[in-house]
Amino acid sequence: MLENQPVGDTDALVLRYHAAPAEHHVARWRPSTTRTLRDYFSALVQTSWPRLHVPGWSRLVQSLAVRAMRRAIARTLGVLLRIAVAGTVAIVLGLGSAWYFIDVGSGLTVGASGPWRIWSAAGRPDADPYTRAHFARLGWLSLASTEVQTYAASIDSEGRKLYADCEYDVIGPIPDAQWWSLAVFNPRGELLDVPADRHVISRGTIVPDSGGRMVIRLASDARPGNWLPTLGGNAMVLVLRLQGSVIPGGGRGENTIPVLPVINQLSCR
Amino acid sequence: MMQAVFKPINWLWFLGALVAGGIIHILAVFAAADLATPLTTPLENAATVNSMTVLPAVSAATQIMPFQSGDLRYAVCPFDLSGGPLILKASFGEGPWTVVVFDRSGAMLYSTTNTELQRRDATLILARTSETRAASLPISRQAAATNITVNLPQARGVAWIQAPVLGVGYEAETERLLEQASCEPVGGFIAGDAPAPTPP
Repeated sequence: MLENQPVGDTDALVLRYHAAPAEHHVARWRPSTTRTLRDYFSALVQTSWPRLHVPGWSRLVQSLAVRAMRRAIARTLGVLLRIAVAGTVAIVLGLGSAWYFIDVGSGLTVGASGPWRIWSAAGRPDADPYTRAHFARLGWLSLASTEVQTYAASIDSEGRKLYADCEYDVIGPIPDAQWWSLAVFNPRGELLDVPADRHVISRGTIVPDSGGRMVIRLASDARPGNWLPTLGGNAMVLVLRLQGSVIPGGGRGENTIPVLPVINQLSCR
Repeated sequence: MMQAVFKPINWLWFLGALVAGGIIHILAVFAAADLATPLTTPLENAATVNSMTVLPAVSAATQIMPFQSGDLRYAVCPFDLSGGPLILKASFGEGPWTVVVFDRSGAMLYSTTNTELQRRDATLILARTSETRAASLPISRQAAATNITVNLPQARGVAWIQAPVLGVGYEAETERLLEQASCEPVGGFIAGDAPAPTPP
């Protein structure tokens, strides 16, 4: 007959054995809501090796074995849990940071002027892997930044995301470049399918205002002057390309970015 | 037992996670950079290898490459130099015309403009670096001296001529000059050699 009896400082139950030795082999594990590993081990010993089960001595052995087993299982589970946590952290950290540095860039790879951003090693054979990955992800075949400076803006001058159902003014000095253009795309680099089939304003088509500046209006409805049509309500990207531009400083980095136009949001639908 | 399982992660594990994260970061960046589809694939699909193809004016319907801008017209030559060097000929019109050579990964290997050259036309010999090092180009010395030889580390890539869209008045002339451009294997033609005597 088995009797459950609570033991001191643990929540384990020790199986006390009062039955005659001849009955040992019939002892079986009985499901219980309070069963523990020690119970299980005890029942296992009683069932499998009844002769080993000497009251007192076997209890000590069982207790030590159970404790060792518990410790081993806990250690294994602990190691597995730590590997899982550390692995998850590593994957999230590794992939998340890779995505960020490829998509957004860092101060080492991207120069910024207001809302405009330029990947300074774009298209170059010695480009860093982040720049190569950025352009590979977008599928963007870009001329080297030493030939053409390509600035992209996905936010306005106040940091709000650009949307095609809003109206914007792009105002600034006309770029001092042999050739320049301002085009509007969706974030995948596709031209907006606008009915006017007009996607770009360039040095060849700009009409400067009376002060000699460029004022380009982005709107879904026709506007007088330099109108760049937009369509739908999705996000959009403005791309300003300067070819053969005169760059102050002549080197790389923040101080080489010329004065670029501001992007002002006028209204949104 | 539960306490042992949920024992706080110690600094060694934290450090291990950081190192593993760094390795994953590096592998992901290099994989994104080097295992992606070659950037020149859309152009290779749109044009014949080792010949010049004038792309249609860029619109939403005809756009071939992402971020392809409508202010430029393109003549494209996807090349494969495994059969020998190519000769690319271009004539330039008004505005800044550019000749560009890319490798398949999208790295720009060479570019020149009409303003740099101070000429209305250019002849480029595209050859593999190994051929030019071994001085085994099938062209005369005179041709090599008078034309621009572009040494390319890889056999495959894309060359293009881009012309600015200056306005309606220039469209026909731009189109004509782009269609005149050529890109063909050197073959029997030896650029720069003295012209054959005209038959009487």
